[in-house]
Parts: sequence; C-alpha cells; structure tokens
Amino acid sequence: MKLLATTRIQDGRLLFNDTELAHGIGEDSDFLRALYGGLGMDYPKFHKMDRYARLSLLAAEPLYRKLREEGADIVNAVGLVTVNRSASAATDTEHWEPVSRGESASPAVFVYTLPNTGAGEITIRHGAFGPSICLASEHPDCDLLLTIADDMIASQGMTHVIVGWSDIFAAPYWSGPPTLPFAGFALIGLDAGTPITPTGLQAILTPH
Amino acid sequence: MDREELKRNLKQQIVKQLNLEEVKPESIADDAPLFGDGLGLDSIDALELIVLLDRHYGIKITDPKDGRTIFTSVNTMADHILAHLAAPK
Repeated sequence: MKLLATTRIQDGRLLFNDTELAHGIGEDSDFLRALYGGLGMDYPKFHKMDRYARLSLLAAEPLYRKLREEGADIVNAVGLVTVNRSASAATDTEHWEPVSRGESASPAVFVYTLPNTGAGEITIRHGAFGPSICLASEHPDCDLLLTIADDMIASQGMTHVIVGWSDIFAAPYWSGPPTLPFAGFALIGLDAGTPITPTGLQAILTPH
Repeated sequence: MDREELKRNLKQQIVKQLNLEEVKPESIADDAPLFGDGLGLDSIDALELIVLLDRHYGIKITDPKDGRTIFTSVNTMADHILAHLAAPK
C-alpha cells in the first residue's frame, strides 16, 4: 500500500501535503470556523456539529477533494478508519453540564455524544458508503490501522482508505496540559506513491 | 409582550439555539415555513425548538404532534406563546 496524501491540523494550521491551505486563531470553535472559511466550504451543517466532528470533517476534506478530482469512486470504494483518544468526552461534558443543574439537555448536543460522529459526518458529507470503523485508544496502533486498511483494500474491494486521528484532547480522558486540537489524516491506496509503514503512519497521526 | 418584539426575539433565539450561523434573524420571514422548503430544519432542530420554548417561555410541549402546528412558522410560534401568556394561571 502507498501513501498518496496527508492532511494535518496542528498549531492553528491546516496542511495538505505539508502545504498550508488554511489557518486560524482563537478558541476551538473560532479556530475551526476559520479553517472552514479558509477551505471555502459551503456546508451549513458544519455549524451544527460538535468540535470533534468539525475537526474530523475539516481534516478529511482535502483528501476527498483529491479523490474527487481524480475520479475515484467515493460512494463505493473508499474506506475510512478513524481513531482518537478522547472519543466524545468534550461533548459528553457539555451535555452533562445543564443536566447536572437540573436544566433541559440540548438534543443537538446529545446526538454528538458518540465516538463515531467524526466518521459519520465525513461519510455523510461525501456520500460514502464504503466500510468505516472508529477506534478509541491511548495512541494510534499503526500496525492495527494498516492491517484494517489492507483488509479493506484486499478483501472488501476498496481502492482507497483514509486513516485519521483527530482529537480535541478533552477531559476527563486527557489529563495533560492544555493542548490545541490536532488531526492527522492519511490517504492510502495502491496508486503510485511512497510505501506506507507503521512508523510512517505514526508520524502522520501524532502531533509533533 | 409586544407581538413584533416577540417575533424579533424568537428569530434571534432560533438562529442562536439552532446554530444557524449563515442565517440572519431578520431574513426569516414571519410566515416562512421553518421546516421543509423554508429554513430546512430537521427533526433534531424540532427538539431544540421544544427546549427553546421551555427555557425562554416556560412552555412545555408534552405531545410532539403539537409541534407540527406550533412550529409551522415564527407567526405560529408567537401565537402559541402569546396564548400561553394570556391563559389564566
């Protein structure tokens, strides 16, 4: 399998193959909104998503654009593997706060209290019906991720697989210092490209 | 409460509560459908509108079927709120 393209969102910048496509500053929501504008997206549903889904959607966007430009069968032949540490912890907390005060919970917040919302919103946005899987783990297990990608290509007929880590490092699963949202996504396939290794994937999916 | 002021408030509350960031409150016509071809709201938005009425006006909608009538437009929402406020406690 070959590495065909990457996106990374780190330190306020969205990089596609190490070239900056958009940047933003401010708190999480402002920052993500700035990236949305920088990518020239027109997708009103973006504004209804939680921060984790927004981050995932933004990181995946340039890779799907590349696939679309190259005529890939996004509907049927692109798999998706997402992984992160905090799952939906930030939105779980946001959901719990009014409940703990005895107030009504927000249905729009509640629907994002699932760890697979990032993958779900990506597939909805791009009309992708290929296999998708969402994993939660302390660190990306890149041997496992590449095994899953290989299976999607070899056994499930996918031409491409997108593997991505996106995390807003939310309490209670993140006890480290305040950290900006990070996402690292890789487009993998059989086309001409650099052979992908677990070590190479680790470098893409890990903040540095 | 003045009906026109209520409708202005409602439009602002709808935009804020439903995160309609690309919609200006003043662009919502009083009689425009909130669902379908109007603002294009969905079923989750309908639940958010129920929460909005509870939080801001103390109105509880226990039968979701009532929402179909109440949430037809800003006009119908205002009618329902004013009727609630005028009802004997």
